[in-house]
Amino acid sequence: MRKIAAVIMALSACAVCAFSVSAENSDKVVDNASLLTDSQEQELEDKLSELADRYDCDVVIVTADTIDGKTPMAYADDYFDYNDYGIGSGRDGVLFLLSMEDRDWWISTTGEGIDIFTDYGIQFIGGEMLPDLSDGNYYEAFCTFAELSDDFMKQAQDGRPYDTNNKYKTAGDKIKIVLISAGIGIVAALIVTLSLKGQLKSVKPNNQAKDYIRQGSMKLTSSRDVFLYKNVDRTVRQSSGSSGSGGSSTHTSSSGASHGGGGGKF
Amino acid sequence: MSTLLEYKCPCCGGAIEFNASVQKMKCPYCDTEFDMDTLKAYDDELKADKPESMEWDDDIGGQWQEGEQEGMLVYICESCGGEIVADENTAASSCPFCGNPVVMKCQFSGDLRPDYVIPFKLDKKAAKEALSKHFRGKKLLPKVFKDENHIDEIKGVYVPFWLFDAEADADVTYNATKVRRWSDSRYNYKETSHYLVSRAGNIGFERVPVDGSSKMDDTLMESIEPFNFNDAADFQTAYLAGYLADKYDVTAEQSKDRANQRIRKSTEDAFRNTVKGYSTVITQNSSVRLSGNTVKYALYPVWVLTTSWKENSYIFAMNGQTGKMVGNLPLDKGAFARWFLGVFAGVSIVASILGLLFM
Repeated sequence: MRKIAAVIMALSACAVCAFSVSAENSDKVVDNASLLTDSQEQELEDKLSELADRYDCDVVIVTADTIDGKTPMAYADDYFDYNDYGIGSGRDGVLFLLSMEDRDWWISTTGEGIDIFTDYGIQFIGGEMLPDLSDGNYYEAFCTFAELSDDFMKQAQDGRPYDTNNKYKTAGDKIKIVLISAGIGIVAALIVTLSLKGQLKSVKPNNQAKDYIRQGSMKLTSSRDVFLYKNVDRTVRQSSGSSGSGGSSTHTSSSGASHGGGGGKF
Repeated sequence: MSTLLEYKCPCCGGAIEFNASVQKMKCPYCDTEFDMDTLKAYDDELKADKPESMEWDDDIGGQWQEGEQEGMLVYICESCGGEIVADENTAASSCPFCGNPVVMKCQFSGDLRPDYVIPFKLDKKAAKEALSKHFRGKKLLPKVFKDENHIDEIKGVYVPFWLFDAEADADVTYNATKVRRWSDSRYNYKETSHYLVSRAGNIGFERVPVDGSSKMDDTLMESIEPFNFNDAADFQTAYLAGYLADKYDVTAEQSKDRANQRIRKSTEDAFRNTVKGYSTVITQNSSVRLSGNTVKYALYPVWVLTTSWKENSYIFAMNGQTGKMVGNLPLDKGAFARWFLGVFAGVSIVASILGLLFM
């Protein structure tokens, strides 16, 4: 039995080696924290695989009870690097890490994924998932992640990934923009039509007599400007940090690979 | 005794009139031109010949019911003997039978004689051109108004104006503030300094005009201001030949308030303009005292054009000196709606596209 086990170990090691040459790990959902049922895991697995095939960009979800004292960033980067995720020479991919230890979430991006998921995009996706994550609806949150990843990758194919100057719009956002535009349209239309209407009216009372002031007749006999008091109001400055230039910030992981990423608590 | 004044051409005997383009009296029949000074001498001569009288008969016959004939006068044309019916304030007109320009001499005698007159500088043709220019470029004016519109009446009227001179003494105080803003790493600061500003002084006004004819709409007359008094001449009846002229029927006393209102406003504006360098200025207390009010009586030239369209009549007035044309025009509601929808749709679509792409 021991021999057989050793042979199987050796074979599977070879298989892993052979697989690592093509540098692809087909396990898209790694539920180490056991947050999903088997059928949910399978459904997600199918969705993410399909996305990876369609866009040539790996999409991975990892849950963990502990991240071994690493930062969520380091854990997510290392998990991606050392488990052979990523497609193609650039190892394009995105990995979502949910750590139950300190209730952290982190999105790590690699290769093309860095351009697809900008800093703005990562925070947006996290923000959309947050309510479900906080309520413990992990499956729903992961489905949101899959759907948004689909939208983000599709958008990036057009060469204009979602960013601070090209924000992701929900249906509500779009309606809001259209309504605001309609409001601007009404104001502009009123300005134009009322000024055109004003052209028709030229008879108005002339309430002043400045045309008849005798030249040089104005004399100031006294002119005083007395300072009374002053007061100072102060207001806290609005942090205008998020209105930066957009794009993705990158860092280098322990394996030497370059990653983008971002995260938060849930 | 005749109450009508006609200027007969010494060359041909035709009735002559004041010509705005050459600024002289000109005979329309033989084209002879005469200086105003010559006519003034002629005018004086006429006056010397015929002592003036205010006793014209406005109780002709007994068949009028009481009050009916009030304000109406009948004159006999010196050229053809035709009867000219006019109201008591008409001072110049033309004979409906022979078309000769006439001036009702007695309307300008005694107390009623104007001090100044600004002669017409622009003629009837210029008034017509100004009206079609007035219609131009107005997008919401109904197209048919321009096409169907025809001028019902066009008349050059010397409108009586009261001219008020006044000295204004003003004492004004203002509450003013200056605002300074700066910020450090944590806070934005806004410092508001409060000042009490006071100004005192005086300012003079010359010949502020107020319409002295109740027949002319006061607002219409204010709209064609200003008149440039530099062109004014001492009054001579000869200027009126060929035009209509009204006598005042609103007294200077009644007109004074309007002049004072306007002088007060401009005085306040002038002193307000000396308060500079503040973020906000609010008038706290303003006292304007007017003194040295003197009044003169002048005739100013106005072209009045009336048109009608869709049973409404429209009145336009042009400053006969500067050519400024005013008059309210009807609104094409359909065009208004089209412009509104067009601009609304255009701007909304462009804004939506920009918003969806770049937000």
